[in-house]
Amino acid sequence: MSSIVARQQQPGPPPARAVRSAQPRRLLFTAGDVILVVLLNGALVVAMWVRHGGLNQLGSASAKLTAAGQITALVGTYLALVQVLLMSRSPWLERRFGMDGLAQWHRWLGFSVTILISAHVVFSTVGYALGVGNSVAAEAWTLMTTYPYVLMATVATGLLILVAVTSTKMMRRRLSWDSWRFLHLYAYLAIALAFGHELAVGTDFSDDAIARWYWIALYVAVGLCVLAFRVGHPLRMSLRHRLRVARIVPEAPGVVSLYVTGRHLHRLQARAGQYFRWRFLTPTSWWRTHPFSLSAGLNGQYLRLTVKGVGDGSRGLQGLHPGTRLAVEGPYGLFTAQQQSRPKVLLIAGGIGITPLRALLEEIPPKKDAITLIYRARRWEDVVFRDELEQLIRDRRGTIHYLIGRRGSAELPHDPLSVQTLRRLVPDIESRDVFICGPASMMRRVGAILRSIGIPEQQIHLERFALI
Amino acid sequence: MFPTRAAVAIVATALAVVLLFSFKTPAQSRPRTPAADVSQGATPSPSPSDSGASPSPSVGSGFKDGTYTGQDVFTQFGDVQVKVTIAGGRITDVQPLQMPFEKQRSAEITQFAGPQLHDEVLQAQSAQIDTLSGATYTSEAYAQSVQAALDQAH
Repeated sequence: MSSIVARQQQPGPPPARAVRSAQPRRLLFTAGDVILVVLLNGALVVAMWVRHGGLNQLGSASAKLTAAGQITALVGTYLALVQVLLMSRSPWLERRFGMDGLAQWHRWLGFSVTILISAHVVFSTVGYALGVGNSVAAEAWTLMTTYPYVLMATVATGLLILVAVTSTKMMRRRLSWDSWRFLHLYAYLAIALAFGHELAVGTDFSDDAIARWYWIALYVAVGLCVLAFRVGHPLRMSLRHRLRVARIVPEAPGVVSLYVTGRHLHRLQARAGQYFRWRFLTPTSWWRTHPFSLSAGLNGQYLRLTVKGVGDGSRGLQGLHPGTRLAVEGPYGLFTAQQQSRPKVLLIAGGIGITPLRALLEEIPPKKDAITLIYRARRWEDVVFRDELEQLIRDRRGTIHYLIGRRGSAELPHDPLSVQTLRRLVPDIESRDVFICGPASMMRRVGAILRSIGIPEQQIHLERFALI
Repeated sequence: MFPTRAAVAIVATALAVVLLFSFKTPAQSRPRTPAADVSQGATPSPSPSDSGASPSPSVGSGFKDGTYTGQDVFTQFGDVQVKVTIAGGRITDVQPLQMPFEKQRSAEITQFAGPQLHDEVLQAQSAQIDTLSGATYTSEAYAQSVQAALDQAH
């Protein structure tokens, strides 16, 4: 394909001169500011309910329930909008909280939203029924058939519950990633279907024009974020760079490196250790994106990503061929040398988790004994980039340790990533930043060990592969 | 290929949404009419004029015969206005001229509260009626409008 790549018979560490990475920029607003804005708007929504007499409904049970139905609806819907915002792939948010931090919040908030909206349905129906002396069933029927857009809102509640149920740990085990993801998109439909009844029936909006416009403005703001970051940004990136797979190089059993070329690659900004979301425009996988780290620093000539055939998604990638087009969005991730707080680092890789660490190696300043890499793999055949890693480590006068073997086998009866091993291999571990990337269970164990020996949180950096 | 199941689900969803949006509640499908005209749900059947036989002013209550229109009382749910009929010195009927019908919720409360408020006034023969649970604002406005009408009947 591209002559540039074809000339490089031995893809080695790319030249450092062409690297152009995003400079550490002062953030215009901090994570605290974002949280403050979200809380203030939440307070405003609650204040609206209070102003409209939410707290004065102390009389009958019907009035109390109706007021409770209103506040659960307002807060639940507001949080649903926050949910969409969290997952809008906004680089602004991602840079401050990290995608895994956002995803954890999203999970926790998602279940809260479902509970609040379900409570709203129960409170409002029972409250209305008591108010007019109807049975709950009869009132539910009246609500659906005579109140404007309430039927649609009922369907929306059902969809919301569907999304929540399919996201429980139990259901996630039974569903493929694709099915779960597809069902998850129904949350957008739910939010849209519920909108009509909020304005038509919601007493907070029907009698207060300012509240109504404020509510609409919240929807518009969140909608614009989704459009900008989920549609506009990937489209702009992909049209500007026109990426194609140039070469596919096997690295280990089931592991390949993709060399990707395109236009204006020198203008692409990313730091080593970050990842992009890639969309391979093939008939079998155009509808999903894959978060893959760069496995080499940027060099203005090609991008390299290294992929193992795991999960529902990556397996289909084996059918890729040179010339396949890619759409791209990013970069994302806080797993960069910018996070380094101490002069020395320890890098711990588990299996294919080596990829972002391999890129990171290039950006860590070479100082004697400043870099130690521990590479854990099940078999020697699974070790990738061995020559590159050893070259990079040698240039930086660092140390590399391989921990090879299946846990519990004759040669490795105990977990090799133990307190004892870590202390023996890295005696000054407390004074280092530790970057870990690998399977989720490994990262949990290692993270726990590091905390148990008193390494402060800001020195521990994780890239959660399984989560994204 | 894009999974067939997903394609089927998308088409089915689109159809379901179209069907859902074609559904109109009775209020949405009928043209808007002034509140007084739609209030037939709350309009009680004219009560038999029990004391209509004696055309002379009754001594006890001191109301002069005739129909009196009460004040238009504004509530957050809509306006309330009633017309009180006095015959034989007694309140024989209360007709709602305006009741909150604008919002479906108000309409439902009006349909439930209207007949009860009518009966309460006839029984009390005054505006001193109990507030109905779930229809506090409407009850208070109703009583206020009745009182205004009765003030003219003295």
